[in-house]
Amino acid sequence: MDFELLSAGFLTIFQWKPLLMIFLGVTGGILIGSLPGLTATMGVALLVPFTFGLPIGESIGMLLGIFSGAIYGGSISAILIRTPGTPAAAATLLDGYPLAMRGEAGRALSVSVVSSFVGGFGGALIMTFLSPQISKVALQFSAAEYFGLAVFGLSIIISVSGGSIIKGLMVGFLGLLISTIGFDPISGYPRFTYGSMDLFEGPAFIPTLIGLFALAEVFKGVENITTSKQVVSKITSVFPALSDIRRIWKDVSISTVMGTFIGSIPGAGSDIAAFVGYSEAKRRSKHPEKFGKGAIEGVAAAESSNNACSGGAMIPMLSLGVPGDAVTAVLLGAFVVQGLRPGPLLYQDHLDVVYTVFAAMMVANVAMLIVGLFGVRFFAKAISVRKTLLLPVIFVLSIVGAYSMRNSMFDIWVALFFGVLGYFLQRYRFPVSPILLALILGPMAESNLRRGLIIADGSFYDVLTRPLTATFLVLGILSLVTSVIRHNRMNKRMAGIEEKAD
Amino acid sequence: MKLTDSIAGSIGIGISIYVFYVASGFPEDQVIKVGPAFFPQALSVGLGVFSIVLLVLALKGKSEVSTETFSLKDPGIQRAGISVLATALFCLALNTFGFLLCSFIYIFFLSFLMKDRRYLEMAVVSAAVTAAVYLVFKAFLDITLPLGTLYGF
Repeated sequence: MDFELLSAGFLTIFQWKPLLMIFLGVTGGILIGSLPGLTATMGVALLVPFTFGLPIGESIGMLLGIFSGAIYGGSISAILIRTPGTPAAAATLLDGYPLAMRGEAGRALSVSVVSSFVGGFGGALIMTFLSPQISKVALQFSAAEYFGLAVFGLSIIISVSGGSIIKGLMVGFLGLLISTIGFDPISGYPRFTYGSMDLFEGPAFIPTLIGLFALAEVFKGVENITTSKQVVSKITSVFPALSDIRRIWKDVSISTVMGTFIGSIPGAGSDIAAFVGYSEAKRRSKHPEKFGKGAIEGVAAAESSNNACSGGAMIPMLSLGVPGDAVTAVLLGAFVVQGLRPGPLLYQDHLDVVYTVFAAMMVANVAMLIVGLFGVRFFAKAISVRKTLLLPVIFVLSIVGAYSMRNSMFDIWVALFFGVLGYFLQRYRFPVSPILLALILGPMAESNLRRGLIIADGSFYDVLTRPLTATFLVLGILSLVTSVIRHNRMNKRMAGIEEKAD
Repeated sequence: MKLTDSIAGSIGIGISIYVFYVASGFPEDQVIKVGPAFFPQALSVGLGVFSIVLLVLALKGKSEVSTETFSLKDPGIQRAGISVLATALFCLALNTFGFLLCSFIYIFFLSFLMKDRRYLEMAVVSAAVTAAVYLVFKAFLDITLPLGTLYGF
């Protein structure tokens, strides 16, 4: 790690405009994360257009602010109205809501934000130390290794597939096929473009993800109108007591390290990290029976773990160009739109930008702490906003967001197409995240395989048996197999629970 | 569940056959024999295989997860359908009538579609959000949203 570059990164961020962007991003991220039904992925997708045209320091600051804020925001509605704003906050609900019911909502929220800050900041710190080392190794990769890496990244499709592996794989292949639309990366031959210039570079990434993650959610929201739950708990204090800090610091520290590690494994998202952190805190506790009934350690462990996960997920995304989950996939797309291609070459060509990212991530977590502590009463009010007013606003933001990237009406139609596609996919239990991963990793896999084949005179054997390539491919297969086993086990367990319930 | 998975499987098979057929017309690489058609064709085979599995499982009544039924008589489906049409209409009208008018009407209409009847509040929110989005994009991001060719812009 280069401290000089890190200082330069902090200098870039510690100017009023990047700082303002970070605070705006954090506020927007917390707001969206706290609204039930609006995921962190959707939050980043929806707010990415606001970073277009901004200088690099400001756009990075805003993006990472949105990212950090959205992950934390989920805990607010989990604690106050027993509805996690994001899947990552499901573990926070277990003890957060009972605390709120006991009239200790302020205590739960303040511990939640402090734990989120420690987790997020710790994760960012580990990322700062670790990712340059990984990128150094990755710089030695040739096209064949990149192909192996892309296949390994694609193997997480099953992990993000939810209920059905077959459906996840189908959607993954569909996404990979969509990624082949446009000019062939090697010969330049236009594929599936039907003479339309708008398709020469394939469907634009940002409108596609706005369609899949924002418009589709809103169509679903219009179908199932739900009334917003009102916050009944009173928030008295917004700062954590010293006694609570003493009680939670060990759990928070352990969960931070665990969360970062889990986040760095492609496919293991922040929801898994939160539950692992929570379970570990429960296992270590002298009073495990209090967990689930309002144990403050439960809130602290879950929150520090799921926020640390964001720093962990940034490690493979930044150093290898392989997103760890759907949110970092969106973030990766946003970086590409800004002209930055995450991966080892970023460390070679734009090392200053990399360190600005590190600095911005740490500052974003400090901003999250400040906004979280002082804005909690505002966010508590915001989660009661009527869906009938909120959804149309998201509609308009989605359309404008899709348009603003290239001032193109075609991009609006792309967003609408993927919105309708995403709506039907979700309605019939097809996961949409695999499309996103496929759109990012598909071109990487194809172009590198073919480059590798050119170098190896067309010999598949030579490409696939290079030691690192073979290792990545084997890891990919192992990841697939273990995901299938885990998936089947979970299905059996769920079936067992349902039988008992009957 | 059986019907929807069967339809999804059939659509998958259809896409797979279509992609394979279209890609077979792509030029072949003369040197390494792996040209622009290789990836789409390989992927279409993958999509085809899993689509067949989904179809077979559905026909045998062994689908992995249950799904909702689709009925046009369902008010929720009707609302979602109307919102899609309204969005398409919004996109079509955007260039001609401009963002300000289209967005106001669109937000108001969608709130109405979701059975909100607090008209004054809906009008205020529609106007405020439209103005805020326009101003933020114009002043902050230097992006001018369509003003409408109808008014000579």
